[in-house]
Amino acid sequence: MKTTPRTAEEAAEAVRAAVARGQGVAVRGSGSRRSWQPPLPDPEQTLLLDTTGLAGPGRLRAENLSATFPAGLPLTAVKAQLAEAGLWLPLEHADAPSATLGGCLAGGFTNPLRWSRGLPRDWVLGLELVDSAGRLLSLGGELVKNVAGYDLVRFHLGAWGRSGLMTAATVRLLPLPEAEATVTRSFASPAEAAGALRAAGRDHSHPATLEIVGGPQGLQAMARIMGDAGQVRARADALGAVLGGGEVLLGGESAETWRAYERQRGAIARQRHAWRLKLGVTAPGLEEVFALAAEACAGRSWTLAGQAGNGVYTLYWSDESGPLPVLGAVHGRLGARGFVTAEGAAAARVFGAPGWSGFPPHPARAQDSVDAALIAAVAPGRVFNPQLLEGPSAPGSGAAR
Amino acid sequence: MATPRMLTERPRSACPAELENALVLLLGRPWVRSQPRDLLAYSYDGTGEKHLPHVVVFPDSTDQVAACVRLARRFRVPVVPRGAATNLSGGTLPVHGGMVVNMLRMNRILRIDPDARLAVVEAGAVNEALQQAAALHGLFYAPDPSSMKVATIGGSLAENAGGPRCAKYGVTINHAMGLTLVMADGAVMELGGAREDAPGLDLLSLVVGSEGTLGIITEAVLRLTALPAAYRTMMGVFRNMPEMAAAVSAIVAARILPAGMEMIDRATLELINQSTGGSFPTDAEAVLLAEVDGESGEIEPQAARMEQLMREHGALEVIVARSAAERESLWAARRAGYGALARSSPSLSSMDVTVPRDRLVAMISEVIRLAKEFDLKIFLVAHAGDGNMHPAVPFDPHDHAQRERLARMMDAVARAAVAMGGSISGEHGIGIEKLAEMSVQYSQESLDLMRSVRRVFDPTLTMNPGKNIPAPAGGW
Repeated sequence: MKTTPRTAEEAAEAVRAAVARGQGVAVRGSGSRRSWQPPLPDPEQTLLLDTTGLAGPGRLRAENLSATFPAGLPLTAVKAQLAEAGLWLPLEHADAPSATLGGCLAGGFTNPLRWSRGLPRDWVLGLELVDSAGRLLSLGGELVKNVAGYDLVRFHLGAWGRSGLMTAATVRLLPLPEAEATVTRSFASPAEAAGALRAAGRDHSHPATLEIVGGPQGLQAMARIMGDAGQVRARADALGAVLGGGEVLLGGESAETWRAYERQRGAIARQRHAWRLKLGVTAPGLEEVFALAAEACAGRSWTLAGQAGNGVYTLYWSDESGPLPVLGAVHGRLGARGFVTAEGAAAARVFGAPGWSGFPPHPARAQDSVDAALIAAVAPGRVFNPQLLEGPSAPGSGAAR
Repeated sequence: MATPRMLTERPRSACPAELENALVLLLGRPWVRSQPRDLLAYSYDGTGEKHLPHVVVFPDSTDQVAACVRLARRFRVPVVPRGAATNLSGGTLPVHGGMVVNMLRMNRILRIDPDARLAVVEAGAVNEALQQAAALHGLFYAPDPSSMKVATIGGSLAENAGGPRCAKYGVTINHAMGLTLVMADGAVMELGGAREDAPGLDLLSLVVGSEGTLGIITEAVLRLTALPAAYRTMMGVFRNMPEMAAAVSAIVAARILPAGMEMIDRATLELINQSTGGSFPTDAEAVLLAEVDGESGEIEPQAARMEQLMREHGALEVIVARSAAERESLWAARRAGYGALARSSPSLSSMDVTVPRDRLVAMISEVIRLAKEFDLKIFLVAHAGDGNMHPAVPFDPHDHAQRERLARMMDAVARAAVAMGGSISGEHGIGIEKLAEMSVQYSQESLDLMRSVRRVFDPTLTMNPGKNIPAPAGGW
């Protein structure tokens, strides 16, 4: 059974009806992160709730530098609405521009702008959410500062929809940068790229992004400058000098470079037999992570892309036999020195990929039991996304059933 | 309804000998205090209220903190973490006695990584020490509470502290990458860290701002930011507060995002001048201290536009800082504001409400009206860039009628803020001071949700009991 609610109230009603029928609710946005998820359970037992109908115009409060958008609106549409008002949400989706705002937030997506502008959690001020009883809750608000009680907003970001159904999000905004420029430069080796990007990160040109993409054939760095129109060119030239040369792209060419980058990554992700993993290492870690990818993906086609300044990378590879050989190799080589996740902040074991849970427990997974108990506390009954497995439950939490 | 601060020191029963002996064995005699004079020294915080603990301990490592918590659990005594105790809502008060865990020995800055722009520090490290260490690498730690000269990082994390720079740079949670947390059962959990995008739920966001009720923070990985190349600081002098608030709205609407935008009324300016020998103009009703930062070429037009907007909205004068020394002098005087206020009266209630920026004018007018209605003197200071107001009211703790009026005004201010889409606390926290107002801001469903979260982390309610979340009607 599938439903596509057009309003938050319709979504809440759909959840209430599903709960009354004893069904779980599988939440789906654009579907850009389906690859690691297991097939939905029996349609008779699960309601597939498509959020893309929650997609009206946003409500902007320019004098408060905030805006509220429906969760099913694509991130690109959100940014387009804001740009018309001279405002900016500094979040970008690296490989799925069509992804919904709610999906981006629920999935803890990777954001090339994080080097200068941080994480989704830094920009979300409030959420409208349907809880597991089908009630429409308003969490947080439009305030940068609110320290009353526990923060029940950010907790839902990266929870993969297990803690509730997002129907709208209120975000903090910045003035739209007047101009941008991008410096691209190719490197023959990770060591060469690492040195240049390290210098760029310290440079007074203050790059907004420090992106790297590469594979067996070489690497390309993409560093972006954003700001005042009269300054961007000079800052980009300075950045180019620090990177040791490269091409400076201005204005529309710069913006198009990033759109092409998103399309390129999206195309790689959608290839047949393509798999995707997110790696978090102690920044910058560029040489280490490229060496790891080369070893783990030996004999296969692979691409590594990500935020060199933050040590967060996405590894794409192609393997007809499935993901497990590379998965195991990556995990084994990285060990406790980094995180391996399917995407975003979700635990590896959340996903139902066959064999995934057979890996040794990650040292950081001491929090598994707390996670499970919290999900059970805030969304009892495993109503949302029951197809996603949870970690071990805390004693007495009732989370594992 | 909130109760204005009073001294409520009460005698406590002695610390159980067996517990004290175990603590001495663990930490050494000098780091376990249970004499009355020692207990008195750790019985109060920035609120001025007093509650005696049973024992005060000074651990020097995460392992020692964890061992102390395990002992407290074994002897069923509450655990109250404490940094520099600068908080203004009673978060560090041992209201149920128990063990105060003083974090000041754990004050080391363990590592600064300029390439990854992060710092690893112990919880007792002082904000200003971190600023100095980061500056050596051309970096800074953005949260800058007024108490930053003494406030600890652990305390700032527990309170999700703010400061003047928040409007542009965000609050403490926006700069926290990882924590080491000692849980209520003494287990140690790493949340996040230097490696970003750790698997699992974002527990960091729950723990930051939880006022020590979900565990004790012992170490933190913090995001550092590149120091701006230049600053332009100016002070607009206004005839009245509403005109100044209108200027604030105009500046934000003009897509200028100042790094700080502080409004101070005349009464407070006079106190600051008296206290610091400063020279804030006091011939007008209020001043707006505003600063833009960034690349020098970029901020010049912003500064010029900001000055123009101040004048268009009634500024009698706009004084522009011409040197780093002039800039520092303006900020030092602003930071001296709370101290000057605190010294001006035996007791002072400093409120802390936030409204959306575009409701600031309405909120200021409402606070001034309420002060008149309840016949109370008021000092107004606000982080105007993020809508965070601190109306401060001096009061006589022995004047019952005045205290009653103050309590009613605090309640009315909180309700007005919430009605405008605001919060009962922007940066001081709930502590014990605003427990009653939590139900003004939150529905019972939301409060129950918070209680559920608390029980997951601390089923026995050992960690800083009586703070942050009001008990359910029938008790925990």
